[in-house]
Amino acid sequence: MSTRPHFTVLHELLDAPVTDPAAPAVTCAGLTLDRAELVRASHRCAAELRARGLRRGDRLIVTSDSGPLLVPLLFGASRLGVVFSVLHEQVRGDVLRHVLADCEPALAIAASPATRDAVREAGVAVAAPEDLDVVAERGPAAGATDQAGTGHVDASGVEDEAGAGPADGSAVDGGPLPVDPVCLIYTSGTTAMPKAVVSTHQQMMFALHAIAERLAYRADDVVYCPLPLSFDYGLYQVFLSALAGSHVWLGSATESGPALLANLLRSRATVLPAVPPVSAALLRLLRRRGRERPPLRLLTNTGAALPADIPSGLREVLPGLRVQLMFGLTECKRLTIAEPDEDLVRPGSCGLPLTGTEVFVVNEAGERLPAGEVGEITVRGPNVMAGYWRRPELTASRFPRREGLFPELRTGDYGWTDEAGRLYFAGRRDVIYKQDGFRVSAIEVEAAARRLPDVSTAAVLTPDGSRPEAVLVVTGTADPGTVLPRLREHLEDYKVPRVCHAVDALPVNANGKTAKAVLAGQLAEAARD
Amino acid sequence: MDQPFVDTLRPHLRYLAPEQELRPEDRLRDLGLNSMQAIDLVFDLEDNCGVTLPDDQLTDANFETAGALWSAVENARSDSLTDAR
Repeated sequence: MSTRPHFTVLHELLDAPVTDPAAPAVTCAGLTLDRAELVRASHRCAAELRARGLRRGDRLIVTSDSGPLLVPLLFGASRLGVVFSVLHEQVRGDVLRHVLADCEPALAIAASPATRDAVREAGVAVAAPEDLDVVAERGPAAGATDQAGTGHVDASGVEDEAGAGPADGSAVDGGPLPVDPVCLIYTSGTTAMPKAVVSTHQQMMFALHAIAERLAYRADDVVYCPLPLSFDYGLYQVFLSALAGSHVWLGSATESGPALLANLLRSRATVLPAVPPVSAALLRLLRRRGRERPPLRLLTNTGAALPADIPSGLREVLPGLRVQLMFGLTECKRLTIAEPDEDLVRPGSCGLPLTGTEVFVVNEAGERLPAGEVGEITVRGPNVMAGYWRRPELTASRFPRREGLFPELRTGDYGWTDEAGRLYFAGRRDVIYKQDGFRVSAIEVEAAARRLPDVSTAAVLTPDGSRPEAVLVVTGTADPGTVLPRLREHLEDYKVPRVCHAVDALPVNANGKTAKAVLAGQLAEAARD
Repeated sequence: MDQPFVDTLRPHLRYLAPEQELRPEDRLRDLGLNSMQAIDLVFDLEDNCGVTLPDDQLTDANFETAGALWSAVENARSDSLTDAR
């Protein structure tokens, strides 16, 4: 469909010629960079990272609250072949120490002083975003631009140095090859601590082009991104926008609350990549009082199933809106994307696999099942990422190789396909669940609770048909009312359960594991008494 | 901050202990109010406190602290009284 050239390394997205270099490219924390400014800022970031000693293959951690510098830094890292990892701003305590030890970054950039202290204590070089004086002042206060030229790295000089290498990205000076890693994305899994999914440039670029083919962002789109870039869904909005020449507007966490509608109006957003709670919130805000409407033309959904009343309500209030449902996980970025408004004709469908990939379901022996039968959702294609960083066993089990050679991704998700190959999601059979559309691991939450000195054991009852939200159950001397606030030292907010109960002991089964069904029954009984 | 206001807030603040007092300077986000719950809170406030928060009052700043939100509710209340006259 697309006649655009396919890029093989990330920063080529920025270096492609555009019709309007003065068009806004990215807005973050009140500062807008046009395309030309973003390109220059990415070169200055590359120069800054280089000056700090970073080289191809080194790792860079950037926290998601790093502001206007964040996006240029990612492209700057790519220019050098430095592997970036955007870390959620609420990662702290033991989890932060784990990530630092696991990732071994050459540099961490963090906005929060407390996070910087923790990084320093771990013996890792650290800087605040403002220490990297690389983004030219511009934006609402256009009068302040006079000083912008001075005191900054000379953009043209840097461009000569960093941009004069071979245009294919295989810079003499250590630029990345398409098979080199581009980023680590930390995500929850069946382990007590997050682990990183590694993507190479060519895996990321394949996924990006395949998604772009379906979603067709346009140069005149404003993409309002309500999610932090620590999630791949947020991160790829930046790259999809760079590819299409759209303007990506990064909203902070608070900006997606009651101010969401006002921010959509202010940004003149035409595309909203949403998870179900964001869509539900938008619908409630729009229905509150009928007045101004944002010019939204496309809403995408992933993370969890979108209850049908939300898209139908949104279409009523926003007649120009089309909805595209998708299915994905970080390990292959995206599996399927439905056609616009396909939910109206095929409820529950997550759409067809990305072009050039295959999605099928297998039984426990790894054998393919026919259409209509439920099995583990499995993926083949260039979008299957490299594996988990420094987790060879876990990688071997999730990314098994047929004949010892050809990788597949066993997603751990269960579902079925129809005769045409469209995917339908049924559920999971392990410890992973979704809270507000974000992936959470019961094992990770339980491990965090056990780290509290007055908690002896902990169990998470994952959401199911009878239980809309995860419930944490602890034993020990802890007052359950104090457990949740203290969990924030060990978990990002979006992983902290809403409810905590204390019991004398957790029931165990014959294998010595927590008998969660029995525990759920006991809690239900106690609630009735 | 009157009782109906505090009672409306409390269920949305999962990090506020049951016996812990809510103070005007308390940051709502630190007490567990995420952006989605903040939207639920708008509707609960309108139901329980008998006010209508104008769209231009749904700002990040007004949801920063308990005191800031209380002021927004108070302002909305006096505005609606003025309108009624």
